[in-house]
Amino acid sequence: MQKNGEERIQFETWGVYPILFPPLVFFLILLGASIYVKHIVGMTVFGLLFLSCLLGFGAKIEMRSDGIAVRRILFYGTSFWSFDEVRFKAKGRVLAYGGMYGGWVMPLRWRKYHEAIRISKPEDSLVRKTPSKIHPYIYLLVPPVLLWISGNLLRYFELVIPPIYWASLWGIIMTLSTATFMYSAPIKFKIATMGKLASSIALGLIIGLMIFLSLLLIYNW
Amino acid sequence: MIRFMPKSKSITIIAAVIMACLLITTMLIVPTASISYNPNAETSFHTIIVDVTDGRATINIVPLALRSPCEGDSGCEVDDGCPIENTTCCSGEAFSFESVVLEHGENYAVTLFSVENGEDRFEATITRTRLWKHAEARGKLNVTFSLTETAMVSEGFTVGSRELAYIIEYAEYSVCGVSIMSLSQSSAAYETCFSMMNYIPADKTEILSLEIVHFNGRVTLSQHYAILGEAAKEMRKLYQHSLNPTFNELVDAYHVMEKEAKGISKLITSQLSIYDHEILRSTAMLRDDLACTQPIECYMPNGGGGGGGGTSAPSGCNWACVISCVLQSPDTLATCMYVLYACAALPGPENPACWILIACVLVYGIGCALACCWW
Repeated sequence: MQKNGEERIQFETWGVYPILFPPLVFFLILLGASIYVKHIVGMTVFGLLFLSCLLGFGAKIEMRSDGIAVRRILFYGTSFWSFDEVRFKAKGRVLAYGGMYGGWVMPLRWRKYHEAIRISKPEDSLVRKTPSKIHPYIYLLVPPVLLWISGNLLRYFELVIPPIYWASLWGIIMTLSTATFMYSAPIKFKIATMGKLASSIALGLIIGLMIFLSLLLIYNW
Repeated sequence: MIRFMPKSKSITIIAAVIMACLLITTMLIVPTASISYNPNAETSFHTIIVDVTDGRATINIVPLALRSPCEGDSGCEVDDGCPIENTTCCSGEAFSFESVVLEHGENYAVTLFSVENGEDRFEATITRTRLWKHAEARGKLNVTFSLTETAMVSEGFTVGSRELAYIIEYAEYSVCGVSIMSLSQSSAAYETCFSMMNYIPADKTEILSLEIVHFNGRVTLSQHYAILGEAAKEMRKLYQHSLNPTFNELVDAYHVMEKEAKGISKLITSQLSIYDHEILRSTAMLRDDLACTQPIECYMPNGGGGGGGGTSAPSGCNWACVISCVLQSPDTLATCMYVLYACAALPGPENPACWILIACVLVYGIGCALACCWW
């Protein structure tokens, strides 16, 4: 017997997120260079960044009876969208959703997918009103910018914070910032079987931990 | 019945394992790194004191106290910090030197060396024998090592020493140096060892540094180089955290010296183990310099083998420089890391994190390529 989520899948394809391609190549070059010059910190930090890009680069896009699910690898989780939130760009090649999210390019079977969604989508459905674009991004971008400015100001005034405290501060603030951003974003999102709150906290913790460890490693290299 | 795992599930598991390995590696590396911060990074001249106890080395770095040329070692008596007038010990008289090669072969040379000062004459026969030589050329890389033994006989006394000289040339920089070990009369151990390691960048940087390393305790020659590698590592970390951006440029120099010193240590263990004796007193110097002060030929009989102190023009990318360039500002890199995760977590062309991410890649890519590949 199949699980509940799986039995409703009608069709699926793969999507790639092209914006992550330049950083993917960039961190691959840096990873290769680190291996070439045997730079342990470079290998670890750029390895993590390359893998993070690689994991975020692709997604399995499932069409279900009640909408679509964008399934991603590991901590990027799965997001769910109803048909009235889904729209296509570039004659059906690019999938967008939620008014401001998406941008998945479907290299294979995009025509079939487009047609399947067109049939499933109720005729009288309207694309949901675009949510506020400013609010979630305040949680997202203001904290790192403030930290970056504070760090530079401290250096300017020749004040020194021990790396362990500075890395911890970055890790904690990035955890809170990511968790708040994900939780406040108008999406249905989960990692594995966790709810939205737990998934947002888990994602925040993973990102915060990776930034903390990377910073500590770089500062003490 | 055999059931295969779905492909996406396998990818997830493989990715999870790789991520976990990388995270564990990070967590293992972090505690091994020192967390102390040394605010004395505002000079490029230091004294490094290495205390060796039970095979473990403790490294302390203090700014170098510069002394006037006549003070201390020259033997002048000093009163209130000033040389006493009418003393002659600091002023030299005319000496005449003479050196005649009496005999030479492929791996040895015998020279009669004489010094004359008025009626006083000093003569010594110096025999130099090459014990070992290693040279290789791989693409841009030119490596020459030489171990020479010198015996000086004068008026019935014999003084012996060994010299390990090397030059390691890359397109962008060279590392050259020498270790002079004085032989003991009574045991296999070396009485003293003085080492000098120079980093010579091809682009002739203005920044010069000097670190004098004093060893308190006995070490073998291979340990001597391993500790020099550790000292270079500490200096690299010190310059990396310097508030003076000019000193940040020394990070690459000390990273190279760290790698080369550790490489030489391994080379001594693997190929020169019969000469890897204990040293009673060791001193060393690490320098970012403009040229090799003593070409390797000086330490070889017949001036044979190996290249000089010169460096070739830069070509291609200095990848170590590119990596250091990206890692140079941890806060900026942390911001870029964060926007990467923020962009990947919630993809969307209108997500500003994605555009900041692209800006990061462009700024780092172009900036570091300009700094390390084309200039």
